[in-house]
Amino acid sequence: MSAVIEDTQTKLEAVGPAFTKEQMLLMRGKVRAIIHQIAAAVKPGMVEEDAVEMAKNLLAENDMVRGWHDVYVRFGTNTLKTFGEASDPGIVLKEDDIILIDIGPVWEEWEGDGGDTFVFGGDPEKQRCAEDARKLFHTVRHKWEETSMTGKALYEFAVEEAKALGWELNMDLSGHRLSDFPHAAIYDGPMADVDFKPSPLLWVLEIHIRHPTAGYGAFFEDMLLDDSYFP
Amino acid sequence: MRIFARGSAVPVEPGDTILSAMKRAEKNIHSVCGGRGMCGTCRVAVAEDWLHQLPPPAAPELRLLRVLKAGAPNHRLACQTILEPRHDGLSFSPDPPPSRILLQQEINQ
Repeated sequence: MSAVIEDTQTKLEAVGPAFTKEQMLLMRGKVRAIIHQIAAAVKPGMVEEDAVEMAKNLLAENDMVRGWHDVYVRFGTNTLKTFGEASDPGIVLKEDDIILIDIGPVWEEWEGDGGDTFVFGGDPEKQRCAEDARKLFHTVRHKWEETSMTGKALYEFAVEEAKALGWELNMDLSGHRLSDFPHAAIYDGPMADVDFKPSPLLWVLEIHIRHPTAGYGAFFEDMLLDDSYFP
Repeated sequence: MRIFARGSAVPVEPGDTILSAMKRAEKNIHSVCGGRGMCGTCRVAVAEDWLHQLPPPAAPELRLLRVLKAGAPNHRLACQTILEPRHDGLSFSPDPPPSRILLQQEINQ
């Protein structure tokens, strides 16, 4: 690796004074747990806006009022929306449906970020979509573990893998830094732009796949960590 | 219409929040969450004599203001404070530097 790239990596992978491995992992645990709490509280017949409010209340009850990004609970066709895009209003969850959750809370000094997709009812294609988002996350993560591929190369790989599974990968959501709050002061760009192998614990791998014609997609994201963190 | 950030004039257009006016004028203000009222980094201290001219904060803004460190009754989120013609001349200070963000930016340079 060239000295210039090493220098860039050092700069983009800087951390703040409150950063510790233990706290980042603690935060990760909180995020993963609350995603499942949110999903468990969502029921068919619910309006998406009420689900977002419920999620914010749950986060607040867990001392996570602050977030480095907004809280997203998206229903049905809104699962196609990209990060930051407003949902179509008034979408009601159907018996056979799909939702995605994306939260980025701040707890004390530490940022978290996590996302997952949940299917209601028995639509096998929606099930496959949710499962493939997770599968693709781990396929790319394994590639990261086993090779020295750069962030850019990992997402090029992800695009092809998604295509092979029949999905389109939304490159608006292509990984980012995570740190003690705020990582945006260090590097606010995508992991897909970096020309080095991202280090563990400092990055989030995002996978947002969309059905090419049907009105739904799926999302999964978690920290870039080795297999030992994914029992 | 203008507002004043630490005495410096900032032009305001219809529908602006304090944050959007500051950003258009390229004034220094932070906004990690992009103006969604989530991160609190755009907190400002509104001059006491202007505070009563603003509508009270909505519940989500109030909830966030309450959990931010070193809070004060005259604090508002710039991204949630929508300006109206009657706010012409409003005076405020962006959240007190040196913030953790400014500190980190200095480290990066």
